[in-house]
Amino acid sequence: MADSIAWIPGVLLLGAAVNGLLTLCSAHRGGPKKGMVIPFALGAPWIAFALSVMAFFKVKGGEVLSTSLYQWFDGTLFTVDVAFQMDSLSAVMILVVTGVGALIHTYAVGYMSKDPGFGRFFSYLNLFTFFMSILVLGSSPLLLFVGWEGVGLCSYLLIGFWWKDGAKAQAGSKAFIVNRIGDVGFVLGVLLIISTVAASGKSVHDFASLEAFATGDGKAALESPFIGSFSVVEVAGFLLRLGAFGKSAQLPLYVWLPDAMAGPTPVSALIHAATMVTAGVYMVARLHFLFVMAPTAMAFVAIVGALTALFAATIGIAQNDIKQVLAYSTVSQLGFMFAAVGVGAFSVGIFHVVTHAFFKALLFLGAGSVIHGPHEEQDMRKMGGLIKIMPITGWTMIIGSLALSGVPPFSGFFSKDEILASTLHPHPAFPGGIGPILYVILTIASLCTAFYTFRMVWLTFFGESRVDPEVRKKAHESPAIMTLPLVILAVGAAAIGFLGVPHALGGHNVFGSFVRQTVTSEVEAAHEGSGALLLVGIAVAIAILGVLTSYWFYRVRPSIPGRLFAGLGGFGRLVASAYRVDALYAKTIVNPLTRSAKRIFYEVIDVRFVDGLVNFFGSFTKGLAGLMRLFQTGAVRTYVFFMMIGAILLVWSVFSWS
Amino acid sequence: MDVSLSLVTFLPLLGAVLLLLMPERLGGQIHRLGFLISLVTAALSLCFFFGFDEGTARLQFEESYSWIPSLGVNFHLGLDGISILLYVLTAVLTPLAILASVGSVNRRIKEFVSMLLVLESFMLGTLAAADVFVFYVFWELMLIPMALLIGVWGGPRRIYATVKFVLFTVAGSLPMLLAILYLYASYRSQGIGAEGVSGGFDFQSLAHLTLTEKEQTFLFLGFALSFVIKLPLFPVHTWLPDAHTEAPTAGSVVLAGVLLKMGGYGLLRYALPLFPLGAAKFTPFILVLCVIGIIHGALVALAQTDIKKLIAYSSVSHMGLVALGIFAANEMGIRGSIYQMLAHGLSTGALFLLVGVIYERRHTRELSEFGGIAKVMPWFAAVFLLTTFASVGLPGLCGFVGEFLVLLGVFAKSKVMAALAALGMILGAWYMLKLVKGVFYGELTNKENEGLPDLSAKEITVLVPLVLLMILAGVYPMPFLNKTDASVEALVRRINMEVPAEPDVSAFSDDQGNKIIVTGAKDDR
Repeated sequence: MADSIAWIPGVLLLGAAVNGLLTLCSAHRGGPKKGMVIPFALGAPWIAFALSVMAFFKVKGGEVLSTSLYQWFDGTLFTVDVAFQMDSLSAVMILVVTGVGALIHTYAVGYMSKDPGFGRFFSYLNLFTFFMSILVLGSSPLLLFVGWEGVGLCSYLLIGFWWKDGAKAQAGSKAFIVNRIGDVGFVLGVLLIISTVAASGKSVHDFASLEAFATGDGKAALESPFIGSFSVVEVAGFLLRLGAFGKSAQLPLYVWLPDAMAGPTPVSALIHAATMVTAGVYMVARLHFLFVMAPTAMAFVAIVGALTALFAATIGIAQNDIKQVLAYSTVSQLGFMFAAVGVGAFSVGIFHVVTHAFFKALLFLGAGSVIHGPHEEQDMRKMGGLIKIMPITGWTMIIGSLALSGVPPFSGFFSKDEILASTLHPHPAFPGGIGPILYVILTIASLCTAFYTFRMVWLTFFGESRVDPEVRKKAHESPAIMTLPLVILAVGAAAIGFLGVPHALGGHNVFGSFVRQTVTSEVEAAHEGSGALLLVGIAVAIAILGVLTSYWFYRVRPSIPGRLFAGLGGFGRLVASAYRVDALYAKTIVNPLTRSAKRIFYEVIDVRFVDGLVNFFGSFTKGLAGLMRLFQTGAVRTYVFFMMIGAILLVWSVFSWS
Repeated sequence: MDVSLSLVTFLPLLGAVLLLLMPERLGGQIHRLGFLISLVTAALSLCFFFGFDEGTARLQFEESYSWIPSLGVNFHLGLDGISILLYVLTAVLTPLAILASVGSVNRRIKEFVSMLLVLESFMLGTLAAADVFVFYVFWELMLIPMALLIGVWGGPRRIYATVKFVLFTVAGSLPMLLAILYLYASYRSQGIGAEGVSGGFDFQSLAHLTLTEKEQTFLFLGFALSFVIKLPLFPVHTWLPDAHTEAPTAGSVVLAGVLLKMGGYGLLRYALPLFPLGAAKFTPFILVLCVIGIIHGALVALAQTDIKKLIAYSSVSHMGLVALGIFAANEMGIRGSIYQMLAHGLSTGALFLLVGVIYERRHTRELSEFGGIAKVMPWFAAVFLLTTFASVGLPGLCGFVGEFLVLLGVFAKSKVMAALAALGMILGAWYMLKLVKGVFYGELTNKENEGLPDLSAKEITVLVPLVLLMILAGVYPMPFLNKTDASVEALVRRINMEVPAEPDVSAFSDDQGNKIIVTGAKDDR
């Protein structure tokens, strides 16, 4: 009991509850004292991390840890327990969630130190980590969904953390609602699977029994045709992926993520880069046994992932807000991950989740530090030369950028290289030709990635300072509580890739083997050793090309970007405004819906039609009542007479009816 | 501890009589005494909750007194898995509603509290009634105190709202009366309730009636109309927004929390099991109406600028889901519906209380009057937010389990309907978050909102039990869900006509030394 993995969510919930209550109880006295908040705020994630590490060593020995607390609810032929399990896949995820999470919590103590909502912030942040731990440790699809929706709630609360700004509150609502579109897909997918299982007369209660069903007795039922030629599992896979597209900000549901940058920067780092947004990738890897049976849904996802990767990367090039660059970069990198799990390279996708968690958390925290330094400035056009003022932030961010760009030997190189290589060996049931197309799209996206990343580096840290001289005097490096996490994350971003050195480079891909303890599917195994040296060479060349081009554009010939942008004309502006997708959605979906809700559903159907009918009957009855008054003579004889008629009619109708 | 069901059911009514005898000048004390009476009722009702035997579908805590022997009508009460949760919900919500009205209702306090207590008794009676006649009497009686609550203590358009409410309800009641009379005639002619032989005119013996498909069709219509109006189902829902907007807070809480559920309860108790062939005929049509109701209610909620009206329309959407689960007519759908009724009672009850909190302070419910309130009322904001997410169906709070089970049940019936109903999840989040943002977030610009006091001790006392229940029902639903199992299973078998209804009454009637003549129990169809 004492070493149960249930303690991991347990301590996190405790932290959230304590700080939540502290905050509420002192809400009218300016919030709790920082000294009271910090022990639980930091204690919870660090203890959870320590517990995760201890559990990890057991899992490493080949054990699968599980613990069941109680039965949540049940239905015909299925039960849902509040139960947790930790296999190698969950272990990787929980280490990232609690490890990177604890670092970000620590950083946030510095970042939020002057914020009046200090206690509330950490209550939410702990609650988020709690739900994230439920998401990755939950032993059944429905418990995963608890975490899934819970992190959505925390994301909503934290994006709108500074709710006095109505636009920020709106961004929070938007995130939750767009996510819900995906969630409906997720729920329907789960319904379809549970119904299929129930129809076969079997009972499932967790991932393990579901996997046994899918690969054993239930294979035929799952592969039977459902809609047209699509099998049950294809449709379920498609629906589940819709959920993943929402949570992990893929086309066409990515629109909430750039707006989510309204939240405090540690939130962007933790939720909208390192952990929550990768939940979709985790879910796909977790249900890999279903997805491999659905090659069409997988191909669809790989293509959507690749297109998202390219689409968002091009937008990233044209952003001037440092957090927007990173936001679109995250959308793009998530696209890479989906391309990987889409072709069946589940462990590769998860590997990129891990490396990305390090370097993107680092970049966001670095951006936070930059914003903090020149006093709440996010526009890169008003930065420049900051490396002299904030060297630790600058150099750690450069490490993160190298990792993001895929420059060897930084971590992003290894995971991205593997993704590119794996696209050339997709699921065997894919239509031919998809692999190379994916490869080309992702390679172009990689080029854009290296370019926009270093564009950001050059604009922010190098060149002439464009910071307002007044502000510049006050600009400073961030305190140690913020820079220390940066340094630790930088070490991770630089080194963690060595866990997955491919065989082509003489490595053993320890990471891949570990994840494959859990994710055992043939599609996955096909990738072992696929990274030919030529591909590695191309990947390196692309990354360096991107970095050098951006150097040329922004350091050597700074006049080029402006002229190029002018030369592109309307297209350039379209890209800079993120292809105006938000406006498009507003025009085609949101506005027509809200307008018809008011003008048609309310004013016409309810008010004019239904109520009009009711009021008509009302006045009709009034008129009838006037007529009836004639019968109310007050004479008993008349009443008896009418009663008799009524009784006769009633009796007659009863008998004639039967 | 043995508690008499009839005692608990009539305790509020007796209390009301006591209150009415007291002198008007005692105002506040009368209010407190009324609260105390309903609190005792709630406490006693918990005896039924904890003493409930989950293993049987039979009526429990049964009591029967001969009432109109010549007609075979007994004053027969009992609870089973279909009614137990709603019975306790009613008993628990009423004291909260009464407490919430302390200080906010200052006119005719004595009558106001009495009406709430009378209404409570009638609602409890409706749920506990085992005899169809008794049920009908309670069902009709419920109308009176509710109409008075709206009509006397309501807002500016209270007369219109009351008339509309009464008209809709009566439009449903008359066909039900006719159907009951017809039922009685057949019941006598088939000799089930022959004079001197007591089976009673109760729903258990009525299950043994042999009715042709045509009869069932008409009888189903007669009963169901009344129930779907109460629910309410699209398109007979427009009385609800008006009734809610005009009703005083306590009235809205009871209306949304319990009264609407009577429609669902009636469908489960009478319309579906007694006339399965009739129900089957209308099911596809009603399922479509449910889905329209879910989406229509949600869209119209989105278009509202009056907070209370918005929540009223959200009820239309949620109750559409309840009806959907009922007409899915399988175990998961019905269990889900019952659970959804419980959850909706808690969350929407809480939402109306919360709207009352703000209305009392500002005497307006227009969204545009608010904004940035979280700054001055952080406690209020926190409770509102939690309730919002309970209402939206976030897993871990009460709304999710019922919603999921209903969708699962409907999915087995019609996948398209389930998919369409699931769209309510998106729209639900949309209108509720719009509401939260409009009231709580942004700059506090309206001067009148600057000095608003946060929740008072009384308001916290009212809301905390609901908050705890919303969390409990979400995190640990089994103690509630388990209560429904056996009865729902029996009900589903009855609806699907798999077996003739068990002559459950016999066990009870044997105590009285009576025998039941069972005829036509076998389905000859």
